[in-house]
Amino acid sequence: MAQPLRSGAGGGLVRTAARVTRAWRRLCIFSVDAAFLAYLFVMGSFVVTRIASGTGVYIPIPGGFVVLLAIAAAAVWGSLGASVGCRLVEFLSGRPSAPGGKVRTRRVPLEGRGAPLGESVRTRALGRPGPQPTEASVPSRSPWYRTLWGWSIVVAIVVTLAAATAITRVDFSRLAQSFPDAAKILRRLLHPDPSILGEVVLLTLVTVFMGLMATLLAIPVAALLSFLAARNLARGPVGSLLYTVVRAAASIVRSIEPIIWAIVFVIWVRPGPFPGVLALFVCSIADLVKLYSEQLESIDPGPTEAVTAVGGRRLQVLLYSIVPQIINPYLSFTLYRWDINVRMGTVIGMVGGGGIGMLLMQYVRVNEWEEVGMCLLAIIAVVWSIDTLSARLRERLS
Amino acid sequence: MAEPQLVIEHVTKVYERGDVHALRDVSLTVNKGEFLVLIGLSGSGKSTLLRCINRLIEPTSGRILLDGVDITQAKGAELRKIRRRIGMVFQHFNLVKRSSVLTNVLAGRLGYAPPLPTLIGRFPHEDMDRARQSLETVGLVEKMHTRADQLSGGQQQRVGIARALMQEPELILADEPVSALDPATANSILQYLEEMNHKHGATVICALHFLSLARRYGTRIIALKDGAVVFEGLPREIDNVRFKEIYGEDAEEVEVR
Repeated sequence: MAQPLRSGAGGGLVRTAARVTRAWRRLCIFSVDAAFLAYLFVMGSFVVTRIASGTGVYIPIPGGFVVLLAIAAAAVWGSLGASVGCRLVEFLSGRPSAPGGKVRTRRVPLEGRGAPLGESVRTRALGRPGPQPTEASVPSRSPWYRTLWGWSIVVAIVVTLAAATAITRVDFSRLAQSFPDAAKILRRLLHPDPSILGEVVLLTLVTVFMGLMATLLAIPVAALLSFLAARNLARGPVGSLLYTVVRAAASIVRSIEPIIWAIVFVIWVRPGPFPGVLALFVCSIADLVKLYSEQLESIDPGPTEAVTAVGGRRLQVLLYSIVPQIINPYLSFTLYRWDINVRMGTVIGMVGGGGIGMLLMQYVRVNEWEEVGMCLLAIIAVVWSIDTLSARLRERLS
Repeated sequence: MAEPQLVIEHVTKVYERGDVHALRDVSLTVNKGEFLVLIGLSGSGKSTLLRCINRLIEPTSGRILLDGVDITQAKGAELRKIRRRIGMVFQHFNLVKRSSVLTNVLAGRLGYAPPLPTLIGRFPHEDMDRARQSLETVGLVEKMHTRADQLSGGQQQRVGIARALMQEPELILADEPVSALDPATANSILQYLEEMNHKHGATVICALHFLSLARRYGTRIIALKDGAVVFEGLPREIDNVRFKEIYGEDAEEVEVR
């Protein structure tokens, strides 16, 4: 099938657009290469100095020097048309690296530089304007282990592993060194103190209710917002704008862990179950909006069409064609979220968010490990039962 | 007999994406009581034309008159009042699968019933009776409380027809109502449409794939090709030459009885 070619008045615009695309592509490749090389230099020197000195003292190379070196190396490397950046951009943009038809849209390496490396010769041949290269002049791509970029990835992985070990100071021998002390605590944890049972049960219930309250409060908010965050329902410029805003807001909120929200709210409204509820509430909204709206996006549009066709109002269309399709998944997600909220609630208590977590933290501070053991026992029991219950219910709902 | 009910004037539909012309300057007149069959290949514009009539799709230009009133200008309540007079039967039935047969049928009455009670699922007694009658007509009364997705394809389409019956429609749009069904079931579904046409005097516009069915049920046939009307006439006027014009040189007629 022949693609209709845009010609005439649009030609200049198209050419300009192609030029911009090409420049952007080249910039992307260059930045990736520069960042990649700078990373290799910094991490490599870190690992080398750590090994050489044995003291863990990092002897830094001057920053400016690294930057200049990376830029220079990236410029040369990228121009050869076979750098890590070239491969990455090619991979991400989905442009096939071969044949003739795509020549004009391909990245053109900097002209006028002779670089007779196997990879670059091919790219240059493709990029050159003029007669189309024949099939024979397009060799298949070399396997990664025959290319510079392939090996540089290998080097990067090795350097990363070495640097990660050094940075995180992984040292398993220390586990054994301090074992006797830890064993003492473990023994005390395994002998939970039943005398505080009443208090533990009460505060466990507080945690369960915190999760429940946060979920209940989040349901109406998330249900309303989910309609704005469903692509298939977002119509018109206002709809698209709201879609983008709600989606972005939900992602931002979700990227911040509940425990951080809890710290914020504990400072705001003083420690207790309420800031815990607020933290869980905020996270539940963001999470449920995502789950709900994805469900909305997967509904069958047929019934909506049918109810519209009989002359139904918008609200009737919603209630008679959309709600029946989403109600069970919504309930299922909500139960799941309650389950998560109870689990999160135990953690949130530790930063002052109330419930069993707060009690547990109090005993930890005074080294009363029998009491801590009791708290842990209660947490295990309640999390396990709610997990099982919600899994059963969700199974029935789907 | 020759009383124009629906007049379509120079209707064109261009889809925003990829400037596809789904309909090119379609003009036609449908008389009261007709059983008009639309034929044509997939993508020839049959569905688009049907959906322009009840404005599930907005035509790009042109006018559509129902009993002399321009449908294309209608908004809000006026549009809903027009839509409730037009029943629609879909290829994939478009039932709410999780809802009961009764709820699906009652949904056909949403354009008439007082709106507030319907929000909690309440319908007037007349509508409940009407739903029972509609289900009796299509022989599914005993399935009233069954979930729609428990029914066979043919049964689901009968529910779709019962839903359209609830509207007491003057006009029925059927978008390939039997394409998803086996031949025997296809005939029974078309017989229901024919019954609505004869008994209740509803005009039917029905898109069909099989020419044999079109010949048997249609009082008139209109063929679309690439969004334009390429044939208009009586079923018997479609001979082998015409058939190839509509469906292309390589087409062979397949019989469904």
